[in-house]
Amino acid sequence: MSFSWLLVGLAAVQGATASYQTIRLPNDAVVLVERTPKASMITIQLFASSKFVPEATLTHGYRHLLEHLMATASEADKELEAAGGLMEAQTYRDCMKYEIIAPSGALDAAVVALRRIVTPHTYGQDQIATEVSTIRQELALQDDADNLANAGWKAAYGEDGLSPGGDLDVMAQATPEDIQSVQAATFCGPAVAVVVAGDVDTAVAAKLTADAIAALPRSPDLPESHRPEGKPGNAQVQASGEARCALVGGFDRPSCAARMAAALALASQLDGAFVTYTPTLEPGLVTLGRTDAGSGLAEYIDGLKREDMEPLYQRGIALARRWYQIQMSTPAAEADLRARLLCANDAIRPDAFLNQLNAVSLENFLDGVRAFQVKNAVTVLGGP
Amino acid sequence: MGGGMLTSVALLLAMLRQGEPVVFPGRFVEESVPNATQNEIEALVLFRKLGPRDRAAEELLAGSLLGGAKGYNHDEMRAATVDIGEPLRVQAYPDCLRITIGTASNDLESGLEILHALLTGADLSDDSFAAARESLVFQRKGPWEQALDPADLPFRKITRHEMEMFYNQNVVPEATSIVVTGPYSPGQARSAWLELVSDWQDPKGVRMAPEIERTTPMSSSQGPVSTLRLQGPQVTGSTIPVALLAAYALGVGKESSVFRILRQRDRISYRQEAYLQGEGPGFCLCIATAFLPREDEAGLGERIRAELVADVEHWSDVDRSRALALASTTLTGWPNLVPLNLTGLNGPSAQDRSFLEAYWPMKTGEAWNPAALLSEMQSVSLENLKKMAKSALLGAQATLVSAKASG
Repeated sequence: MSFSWLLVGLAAVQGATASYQTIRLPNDAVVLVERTPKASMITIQLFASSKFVPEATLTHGYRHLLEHLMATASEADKELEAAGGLMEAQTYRDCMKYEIIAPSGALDAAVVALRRIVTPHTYGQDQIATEVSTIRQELALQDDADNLANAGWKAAYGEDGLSPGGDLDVMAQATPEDIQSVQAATFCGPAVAVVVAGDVDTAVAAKLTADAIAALPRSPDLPESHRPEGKPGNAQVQASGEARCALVGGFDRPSCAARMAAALALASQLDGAFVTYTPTLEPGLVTLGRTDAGSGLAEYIDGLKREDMEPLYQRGIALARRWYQIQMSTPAAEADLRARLLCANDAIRPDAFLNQLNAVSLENFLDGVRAFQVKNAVTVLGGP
Repeated sequence: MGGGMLTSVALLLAMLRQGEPVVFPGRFVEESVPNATQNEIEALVLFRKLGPRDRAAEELLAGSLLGGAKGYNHDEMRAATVDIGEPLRVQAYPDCLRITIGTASNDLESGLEILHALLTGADLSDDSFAAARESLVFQRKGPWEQALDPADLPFRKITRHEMEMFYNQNVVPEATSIVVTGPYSPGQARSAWLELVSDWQDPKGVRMAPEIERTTPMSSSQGPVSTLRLQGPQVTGSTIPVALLAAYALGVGKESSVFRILRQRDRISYRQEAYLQGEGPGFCLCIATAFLPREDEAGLGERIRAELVADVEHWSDVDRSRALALASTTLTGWPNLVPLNLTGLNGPSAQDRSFLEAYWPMKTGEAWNPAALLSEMQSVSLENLKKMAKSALLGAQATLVSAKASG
């Protein structure tokens, strides 16, 4: 299949390090190819935003189910693995991700896998039942950190914060038509971004990739959905440990940078603490938790005074900068972040976070720390 | 500093200049990377085969080490590394202790000093021991962690003195392997390290006999899933590449035996993997899976063993080629996807590569050289690959940790 490309950007960094090419297709999907010379691997990150089909109680988990059904029906693995490649899929609250990795030189095999994934299939009720049974096993593997964070999301955002894993009873009721509707609303041009990174000829890779997703439909005639602001609250969940969750704006917002810096600084004071944040342009949640019982996390955070917080400022900024560097440290990680943002809004670049971080003042940071204190945060308590 | 030490350092430096082997009896590799933004130190201490008390002592040690060491209290040690954005980490693996330190680009010395302090002069105070024990006793393993490591370790029975004995007898120079990367001058890291360790002695003659007690599995699952692990016999030396290739064929990717059988055909589980588990001087080829409780789970180990053996019988050159292709991809580019049970490998990062460069030679006697390892794997015939997989499966000990009892 061939078609006319609409070049929307040929960004810069030609030469020794990397070069980028961004294309918006006629169906409004976006392809970004990044050449990373001497990389031993190629990665293709296909992201599909949930902006036209957010999680809702009555359809909770349909997207996750779709992810499983598409991966199975694509039968992309046999050829891909024979070429030394692998494919993984994951459903998040605000997007769905298929990641293909392949050795350098196996771009064709990787693109074939991409094409197979996005090719629409029809699914039978028996296939749905089979995948629901697999998802039942998958959800049972969630650990305490997952359970604490999911409880925080639900308390903060209610229906707008439903877990991406889904509700097994709801999924079991899904019909093939339901899944097809979700597929049409998820894998449509305006919701899809593909980022390719590796030692590839950018023009060739862009054309192959664009061809592979050119047949995706345009807008599904549905309104874009955006998550409203969350609110502080409390939750209890069957898990070991406890968590504090700070409400944040999108990845490119000042509150996100300041609260990430605060979370990482606080975690550095608490042995065994974890921080969970999934980059998204929607309002989100930064979760700081511990999974050992009697962790003392709440007492520590709520007991902090200004003079305790101030010495953590520089550390928080350094840790958040390091976190960002890690997100951008490999072609695959960088491609993931770029695609995650592109599928929601092609005007936002990863360095928006860094720019906000560079502007975080001491006062912003202190506000960031206070966002984890009991009055401002979501408090999650684990229990039996 | 006494005259004797000055003399020994001068001697060491002189030997270094003459191209003599490093005098430090462990491994020390420096990789000067001019454009690196900071220094990264990956160190590990490899252990002989550990029994349950030893493993509990090792985990307690990992939790206690950051309490302080020779000249650094807990906060100072944390601040020296975390303030540049790279928290100091100590991780306990079943066969080694891993220490990861990052320091600012112009401060390699403090990173090496902290490492030296941790290895030779840990405080191991009552307070840090008590905190580590409380954390471990009440820790609940995640379902997949339990599948990979179902051991029930006796944390409550280990005293601080026993942990200290473990430290003194096992954290010794000969067992230590260190890789330092950073933008320092060639030779700088090595000479700084040699100066630090010139007086670090292996406490010969006080080594205790290996623990003979056998590790027992957890009596019931800590979560909603039952877990099953098949652990094959230990492989060492030249058979390690064969076992690694068998791990790829058995358990990496969706065309692997465990995925096709356990997930796709039998619908037993969502996650199932094959991997090499480091143990003592070698590795064991293992299969792990986790699943919701089943009526037939008591016999599941035998059933899976038989089904996988039957599948291996039907392996063809397609399976061998697929395994080699995935090995080629992951060994060179994605260390976290190499089927080695080393949690904490996060991706194709320099840190992970450094760790493997420190770890692999201690286990195999060979440098971590993905191309050479792949070449060895390419020479494995289909027959030998099948033989290794069957031998591991047929000789494997099955460990079921049931969630039925825990409700």
